[in-house]
Amino acid sequence: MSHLQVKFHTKQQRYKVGESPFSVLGSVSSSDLNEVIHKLLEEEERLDEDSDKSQVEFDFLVAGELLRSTLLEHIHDKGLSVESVLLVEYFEKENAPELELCLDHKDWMSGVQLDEDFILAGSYDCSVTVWDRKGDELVSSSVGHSEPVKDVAWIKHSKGDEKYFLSGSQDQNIILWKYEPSLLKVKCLFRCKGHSKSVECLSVNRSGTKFVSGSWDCSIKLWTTSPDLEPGTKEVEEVEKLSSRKRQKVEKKGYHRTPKMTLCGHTEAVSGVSWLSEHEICSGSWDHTIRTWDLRTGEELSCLRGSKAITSLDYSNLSRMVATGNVDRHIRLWDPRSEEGAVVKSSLTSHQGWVTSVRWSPLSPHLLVSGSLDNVVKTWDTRSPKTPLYDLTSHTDKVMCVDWSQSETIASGGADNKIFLFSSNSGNIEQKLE
Amino acid sequence: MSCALSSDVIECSVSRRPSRLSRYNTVRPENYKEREWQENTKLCLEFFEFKGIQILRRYCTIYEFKFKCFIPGECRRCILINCLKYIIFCNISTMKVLKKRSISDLKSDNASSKDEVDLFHTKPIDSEDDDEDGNTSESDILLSDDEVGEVESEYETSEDEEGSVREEIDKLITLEGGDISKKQQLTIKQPELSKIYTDDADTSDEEDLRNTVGNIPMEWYDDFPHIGYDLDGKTIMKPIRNQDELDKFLNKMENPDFWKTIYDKSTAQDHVLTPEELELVNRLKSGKFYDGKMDPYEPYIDFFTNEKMIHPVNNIPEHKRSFIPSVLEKRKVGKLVHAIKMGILKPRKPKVPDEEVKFYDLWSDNKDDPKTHSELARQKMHIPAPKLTLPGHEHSYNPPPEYLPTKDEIEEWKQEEPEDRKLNFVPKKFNCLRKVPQYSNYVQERFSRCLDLYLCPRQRKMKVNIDPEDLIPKLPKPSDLRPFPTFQAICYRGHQAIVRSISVDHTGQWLASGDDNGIVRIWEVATARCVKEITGFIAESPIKCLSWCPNPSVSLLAVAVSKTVVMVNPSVGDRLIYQATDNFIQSLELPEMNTDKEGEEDMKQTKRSPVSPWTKVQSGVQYQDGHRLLIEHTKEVSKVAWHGKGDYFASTLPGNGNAQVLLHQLTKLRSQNPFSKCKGAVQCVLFHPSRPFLFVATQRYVRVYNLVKQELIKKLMTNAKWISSLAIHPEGDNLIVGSYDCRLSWFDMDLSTKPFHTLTYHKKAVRACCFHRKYPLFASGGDDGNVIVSHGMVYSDLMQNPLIVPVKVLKGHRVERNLGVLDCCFHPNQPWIFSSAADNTIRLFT
Repeated sequence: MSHLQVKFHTKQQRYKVGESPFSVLGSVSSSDLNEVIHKLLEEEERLDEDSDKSQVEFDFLVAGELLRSTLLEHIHDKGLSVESVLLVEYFEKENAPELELCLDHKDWMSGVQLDEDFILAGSYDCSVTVWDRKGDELVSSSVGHSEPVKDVAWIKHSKGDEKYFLSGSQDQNIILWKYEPSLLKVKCLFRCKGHSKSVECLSVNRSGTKFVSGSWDCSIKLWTTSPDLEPGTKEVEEVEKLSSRKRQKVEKKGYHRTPKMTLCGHTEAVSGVSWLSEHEICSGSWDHTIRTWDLRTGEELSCLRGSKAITSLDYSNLSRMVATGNVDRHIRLWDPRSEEGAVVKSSLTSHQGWVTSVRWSPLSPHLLVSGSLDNVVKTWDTRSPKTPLYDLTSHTDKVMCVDWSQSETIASGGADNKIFLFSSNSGNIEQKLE
Repeated sequence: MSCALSSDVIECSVSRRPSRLSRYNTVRPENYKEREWQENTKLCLEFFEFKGIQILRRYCTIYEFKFKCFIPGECRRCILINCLKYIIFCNISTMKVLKKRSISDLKSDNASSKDEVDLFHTKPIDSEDDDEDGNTSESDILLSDDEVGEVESEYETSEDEEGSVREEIDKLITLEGGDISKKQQLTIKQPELSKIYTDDADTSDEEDLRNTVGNIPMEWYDDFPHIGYDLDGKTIMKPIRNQDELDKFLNKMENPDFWKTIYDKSTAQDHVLTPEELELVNRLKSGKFYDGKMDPYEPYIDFFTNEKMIHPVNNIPEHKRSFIPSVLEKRKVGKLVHAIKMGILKPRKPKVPDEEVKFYDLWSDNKDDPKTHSELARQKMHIPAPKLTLPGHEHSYNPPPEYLPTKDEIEEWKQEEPEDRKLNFVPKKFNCLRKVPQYSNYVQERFSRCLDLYLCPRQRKMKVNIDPEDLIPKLPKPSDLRPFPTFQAICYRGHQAIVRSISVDHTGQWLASGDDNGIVRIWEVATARCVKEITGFIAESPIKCLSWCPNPSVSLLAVAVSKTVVMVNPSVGDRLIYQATDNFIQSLELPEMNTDKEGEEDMKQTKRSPVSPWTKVQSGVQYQDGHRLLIEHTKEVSKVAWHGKGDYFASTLPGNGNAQVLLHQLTKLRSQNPFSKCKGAVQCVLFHPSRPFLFVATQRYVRVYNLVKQELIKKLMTNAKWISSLAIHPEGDNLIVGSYDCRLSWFDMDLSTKPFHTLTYHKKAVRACCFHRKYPLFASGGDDGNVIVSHGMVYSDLMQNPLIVPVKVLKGHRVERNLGVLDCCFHPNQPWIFSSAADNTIRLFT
């Protein structure tokens, strides 16, 4: 077995070791390297004072990919030379997400999103439900939608206590809800009508002023999120026309709102939309394409063609990559801005069924979570495309949605009528990094 | 070896190789006491058996010898061995030779040493014959070669002797001259000779007068007065013989012994043969042994036993050197190798073959003569005669019983014309080959064979060597033909009974399925969520077929249950559309069949076929469930097929009768029977996607009708026994036909009415087949539980044949009650396929 020259380095200052190269066997795996680092740290007397540190495990990054097999195999796969000194970066390993909460519901969960304080979920029984983070059901409303809710999203408004959220449903409506935590009440503010088929996905922009929705009717629509009637629009005119009685009635049911813009171009159902920037969105569809749109002009900026239908899409501002879940069991990473070269930057393979949902970590450019029809939620490091970090196998039926909008918590909902919350420490690590 | 016992003597003779005394015989003389006799005999025998041989070996170099055992009173333990030249006296107990005497000595001392002889001849009986007996016993010796020679020479020299005996003896001698053993046997007893001498010359001295000249021609001594020398070297004088012819004559006349008188050359004297000698001569003449007592057939006992022993003769383990390679040999080989290497040793030169003997080819044509064209062609294109078929079992003279014809078969054979017979003979069984009679047809058969060879023209068949692999068209790899469904993605569970039919709506969002319990479910394709469960159909009757209306502006599902076709609005998808559909159906007016003249005319046109009446479902539970229209039929409806535009649809009512296919028009709520007469049982019908053609599949054929011109266009021969399903390519020129005999046939409508390609990959009946609307894919599902997806590319170039490549076998469905996949359909936009099966599930493969 050949020996390899290895040089360790890390960005985490407190785990720094000397820069002198070491000779290790080619057959070492990451656990062996772990021991080496521990030994080195002990020698430099960094672990003595803090007993916690001795528990720390490290992950090793060699040539841009996490070491999962033996070092030699890894190098062979990457096509590197065995002669040169290998630069090995190590960092604290991601802890396994721990099951935090399990929320039961009556029907399949189709969409879930977390807020700092609340958990919002949409279900196939046409209801939208809000839990607090302790798992107590606060309010559930089944009046707004007449058909299964397909997606939900919080709107970040900084107006006092009131919370606003959206829910899109198969009844072709998106409802803008107002939630008053003090009263434990939800109110249907606006009924966004315009889609002619089931609304599949929602995405609110960072500032919380606009949102886009993708639907089975192949269109993407842009809406505003303002909780008030916008003056000078048709809606206001219509409302003004009504008599006071009727106005009350309408107010109860929610005012109608019309889309600001409609983006047509997809030939099949739009299954995922995500904001790239304040004026750009990208969308994935069953027609195998990812399209980016300019919202100022309403034009299609680019179109990336894949070979498989996309079931879910998410964009990460940190890695500037789009992750898509595909029906061929892969998660693919795309660069939405480049059109040259291979459009698929990387594909993560481990799922056994359709990947129904993918979400990036809000803090790390490498981490993402995915849910699949094979009942498993997986967390991924994009640097290890063959092996996921962790498999979360709590679900007993199809996973329909995952969420990682809050950095410390991963949420997933599935066809077993349950929402699971997993605590994740990845955010902390990333913070430590900085 | 022989042993004889005279009165007091055990006489044994050992032949050739004295090993042991094998047989003896004793007779006790009267004057012996029994015990004494036995004791002596025993001693004697012991001696012979164990010790005497040593003595015999020492003294007896001659092959045969005889010995005599005397058991006298005083000298009990002595034995006399009489072997040729010597007489040996041995002490039996001590095994010492007491005395050895030469016979000649014995003879010369015969008179003087009477006492010694007496020692042996103390026989109380026959004291008179003592001498004779003693002589006989002493001189019963075989002559040595020299002596025989002497005897011979004696006979030869007696030329002048006359008489028949002498002639006979001469004859004998000349006859047997070459045979030494006979010569040895030609013995003349010495005592008799001596007797003769004594008789003739009356001199006892001459008894042992022996001529020592040896075996030489006695003529040499003709000029001498003597004829030789005796043992002491003194000359032996010739006897005075002065007989003239007269004396001879007188002698002849007077002497009665003349006939047995012979002339002895060695002694130059006449000799009268004794009766014993005469007897011997007679014996020799008749080819017998010289010794009358000799028994040539006495039992012989092997020196080595012929029995096989279990133990080996010696059991010494083999020496080590028998295992290890010989060093000497190695050295020798090494030397040879060295010699070869150094070039000293050279291989033998190959034999130069003798120059071939050249023969003059008598029959060849003159070389100078140019050969004719036909001759050359014949030589070049030699075609060997066709071979006769080899004989089989039935040709055997002793064929196995199954090849023997029975009586009936023989009768039948006889009835047949000779040309029609399979065999031109009747096989028969014979015990053995020699009983087989001559084959009567032999000449005729040879003649016909010759005729065949002579008269039948032979032609060379040109063979083409083609690699069978080359004939198989080069099909592209399935991996190059992506996308196509490869794995099971979703399983739709919920049905409690066999799912007979499935249908995907034109958007690909909803999947409708109907089971045997009469329940229709609407599924969301992407999530396997059962959105709706539509009931209210005729209870307990299975949903035979359902189909979405292909018109995108109408949300209707045609469901065939029992004798009705129900139009269901499942109210899923676009709200506007399904509401509009409801309104549209509300707005439709039912035609009044009886009053309307047009309707009547229609009836006439359709030859009064029973037309199914339409009814609207206006309210009630069924309306809530989504039922909108009912079309009653007279018979069970098995299949429903929509026209591509979504206005017309056809329902199939299998069974006998005319009204097997009914066409319905949705907008006018009318039905009509397009065929006045149906041939065969209709299995399914199908509309052409763009042209007004209707495909009607009966059990074996698919008929294509032009609905506008109302005529039959084509009849497709499927070669199938029972068609199960039909599917048409979206462009309308190609058709696939699945059948219950495991086949899927591809028809190119422009090409032929016969299948262009037949796929037989299913192991059991094909139940369903379908084309993809957008991708070049088609699939078939069968009772073996598999869905086989094939790539079926149709080119716009009319010259190019469709490319058909089976790409994937999708497994997953369980086979229950011998039913597998019952229906399959492609997703309208994605390369996915749905299949429903008898295991109550629907599966989506992507």
